[in-house]
Amino acid sequence: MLTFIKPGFYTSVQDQGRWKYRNKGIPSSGCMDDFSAQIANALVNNKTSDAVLEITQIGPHMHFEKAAVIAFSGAKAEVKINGEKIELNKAYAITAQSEVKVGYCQKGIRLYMAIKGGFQTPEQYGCRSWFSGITEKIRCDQGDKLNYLPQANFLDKYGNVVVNADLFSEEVEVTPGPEYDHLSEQQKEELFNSTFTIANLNNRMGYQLEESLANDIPEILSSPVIPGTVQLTSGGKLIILMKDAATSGGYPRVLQLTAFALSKIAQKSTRDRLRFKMKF
Amino acid sequence: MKVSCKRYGSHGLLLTWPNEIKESILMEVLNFQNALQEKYEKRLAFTQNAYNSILLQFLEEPSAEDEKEILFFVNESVLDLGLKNRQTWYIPVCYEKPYALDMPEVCLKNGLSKEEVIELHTSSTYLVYFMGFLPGFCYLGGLDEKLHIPRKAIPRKITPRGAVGLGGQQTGIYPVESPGGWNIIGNTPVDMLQLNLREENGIQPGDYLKFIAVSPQEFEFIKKEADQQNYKLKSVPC
Repeated sequence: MLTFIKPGFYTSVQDQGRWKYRNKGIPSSGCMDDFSAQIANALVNNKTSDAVLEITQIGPHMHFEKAAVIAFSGAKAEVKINGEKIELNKAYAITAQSEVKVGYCQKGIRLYMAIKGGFQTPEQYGCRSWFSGITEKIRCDQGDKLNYLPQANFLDKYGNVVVNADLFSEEVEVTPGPEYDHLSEQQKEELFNSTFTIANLNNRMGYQLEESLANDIPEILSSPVIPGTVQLTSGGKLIILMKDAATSGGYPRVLQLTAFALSKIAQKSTRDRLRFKMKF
Repeated sequence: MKVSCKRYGSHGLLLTWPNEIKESILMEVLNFQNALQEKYEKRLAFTQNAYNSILLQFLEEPSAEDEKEILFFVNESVLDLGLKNRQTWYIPVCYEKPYALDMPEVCLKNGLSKEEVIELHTSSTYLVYFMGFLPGFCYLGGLDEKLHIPRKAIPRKITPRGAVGLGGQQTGIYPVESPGGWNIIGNTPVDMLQLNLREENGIQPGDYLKFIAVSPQEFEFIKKEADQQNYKLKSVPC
């Protein structure tokens, strides 16, 4: 059992998401930066479907009742096991009664902690990702406990990885969205030649951008949307849909982020900047 | 070509029918969704429909050949399989206090008495087009024009679970608690989310809903029965 002495700012259990229920209007949810989550899972020899902890901006302080193997990947933050500073992107075996303290995210805002065997929290509709109205919990509170599979031995080999991918830069790759052709030449030019700023409306559902685009293209009949879609509202605002976004929408879907670009956006916060680049 | 097919992300194909909210278009969409689901079953992560569109999300990136094949299939085949197990669901709704939060405003704005609002809302049959916006939220067609009403100027921070509302040209039920701008005229004791998520015999796009007015006493009784899984919702095959 893992107990939260302090829960951090917004800590939740996430996995690959509830994709099979999208036709019932249930958002997929899942790891916002799946790239980092999967590095953490791989480091402890987990399956990609195993549930991890998503830590946002301010990290938690946790107590581990039993021995475990853990690894962190994603945002740059100071992590200490029993007072000793550890590295990210490396697996650690920890003994029973250990305490793990995660500090502030200094670069990026989402850090993932994988635990060998994955968190054994209850599944709802075939998935462990926390989501309002579907799972009992939305985020960790002080005193909350999470189940994991205690590790009896550490005979497995664990390693570390060097992450060369450019997770924190401004450039994000996109492909045309279904309504890309509705844009004027001038709108396209503005989209690809401007630097945009993340507005303070940013969370697990979506990220709004500060700058507007002159826009008179009409709305569409409500149609499916997916995480990574960039919508253009009637008021000219750009909204990037994230993992908890509703399953359908009526704003034109002008761009679609690549999977890695979506992970990059998930590491950005208010006032961070980005540039769209068309993938060829 | 009547139906267009576009790439949507690396693994998705989006099929779009003409831009109309119409029962005949929905029937085509649902028939093709079923047929494509069957045809590509092993290769699909999920499919999702809306008024006039289907998203086919593949497990592995679909090829240009797949795209061509699907486009040909939807434009050149005539499917008249009909939908299996279509039903009309009878949803009990209490239109009285304390559930009908915005009934006075609706009456005032639309020049109707409470009885007329209830009569108009319960006499239509509503077609379920698709689910979205909230888990288990049904987009319904068929609201009487006399009940069309703008959304509230200031949305409610919390609209209760089961709330039945009017917004613009639409009516619907909030399956879960949520912020919302619709005018609330009643509440259903039925757990709409559960009803939507049932593996078998749940509400499906293509089904119909009818609302039945119940008293606050009946509401309480149904709620108790429903909480203990004893309540059997009335549904009739159509």
